[in-house]
Amino acid sequence: MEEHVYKRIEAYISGNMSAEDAQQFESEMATQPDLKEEVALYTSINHHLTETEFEDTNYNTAYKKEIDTYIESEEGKALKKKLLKVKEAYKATSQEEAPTSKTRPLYYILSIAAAVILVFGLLFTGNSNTDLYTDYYQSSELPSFTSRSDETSLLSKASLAFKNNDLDTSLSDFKEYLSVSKEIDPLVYIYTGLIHAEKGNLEEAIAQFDLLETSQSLDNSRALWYKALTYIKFNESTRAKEILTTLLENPSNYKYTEAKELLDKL
Amino acid sequence: MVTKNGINYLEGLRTGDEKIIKAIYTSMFPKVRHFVLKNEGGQQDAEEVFQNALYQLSIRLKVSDIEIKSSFEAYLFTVCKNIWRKELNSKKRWVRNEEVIALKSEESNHSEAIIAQERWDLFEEKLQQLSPNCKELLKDYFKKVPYDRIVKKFQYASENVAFQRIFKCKKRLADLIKKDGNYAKLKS
Repeated sequence: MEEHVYKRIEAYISGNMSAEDAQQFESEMATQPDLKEEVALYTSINHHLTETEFEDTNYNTAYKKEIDTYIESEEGKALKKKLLKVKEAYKATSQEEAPTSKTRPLYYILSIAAAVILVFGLLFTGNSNTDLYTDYYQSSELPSFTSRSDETSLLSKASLAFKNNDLDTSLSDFKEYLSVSKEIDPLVYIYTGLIHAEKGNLEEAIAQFDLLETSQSLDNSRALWYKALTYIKFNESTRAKEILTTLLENPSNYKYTEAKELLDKL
Repeated sequence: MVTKNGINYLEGLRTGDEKIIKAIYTSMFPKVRHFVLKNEGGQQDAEEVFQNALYQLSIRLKVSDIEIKSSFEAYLFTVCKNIWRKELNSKKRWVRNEEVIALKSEESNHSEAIIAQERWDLFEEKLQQLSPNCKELLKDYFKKVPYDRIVKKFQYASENVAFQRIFKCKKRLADLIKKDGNYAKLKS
């Protein structure tokens, strides 16, 4: 497809077309099935990428009929009944299990609680804050360095190692990058900070985020977000709240909306 | 596909093994419930979403097939999220009274949700085949990151270059989708 066609399709989909142009465009679609299909596909792609709407389309295809036929068949009806039966069985047992724990002796519960605190305390996980951390920490949002050509190979190697949870390799690759590069990308400090946090070194982690925060990067507010998450990970709610409050001073800061939500939950 | 605890959930669903389906409930329902409750739903909604997800997946296993690239748990969670998102959207539209929603039969609800989910799988698969750079760019673009920031971040020469690049990435995605044999089957 040509670029000018694409521009028109996008304008039409987003409603940025004058009524006159839109009418013209629709009459073209009526006579050109290819164009109509292209518009449908690009609409779907936009839906998929914005993630806000799950498409609700009327299908009237052979495949739909095939599915409907199955649903109406005896087998399909039996399947539905069976799933409902399992659901009821699950609900019955999950309700049964809950009260039994109350009958256990107190020392038994306390000893388990102590063990849990011991184990998870060492791992810096296992409390309600960890849930918040996992709810808000998205590895997919970490910066990607693939577009930068210079030291790209080193950076992508380092971030790949990070993704594969090979923290030592990742850290040494990032350190090498930081020592050899004339102009460093401050977003690297997000990774080095997270690595130190994973290794249980809170102070060093915060120091790395500080480097990003004080850099000239347009994205330096990301430092605040990762600092807050790290404090949460280490169960330091007070510090986390302070950082989030700072983040909320400027609505253009990274993760402004999420920060508000997170602060409320804390 | 066998999970950590050695149960093949997908096979269990395919054969309708009640024990395994109950195990799916035990391992996954709390997470889905948590998600629905956090997103404007209640216990009843969570139960319906989960039940519909299992039902729709079972139907797909009978009528066509399912190829799961991630874990069964992750996939089931995605399906549940999509079902709940669709439900929320239609509720909101209903409240805003934007359109008159023709009442659909229950079968149609299920079969359309199944097709929509299969389309979602297809689009996601192709999206993952794009270069990391394209993916990141499209993500930013759809998050409405302003052009001037995109230009800076990706070190493009101008906004026009950024536009060209977005156009090419989208076109590549569209071509990948069109080339896939399943696309024709899943069109509206």
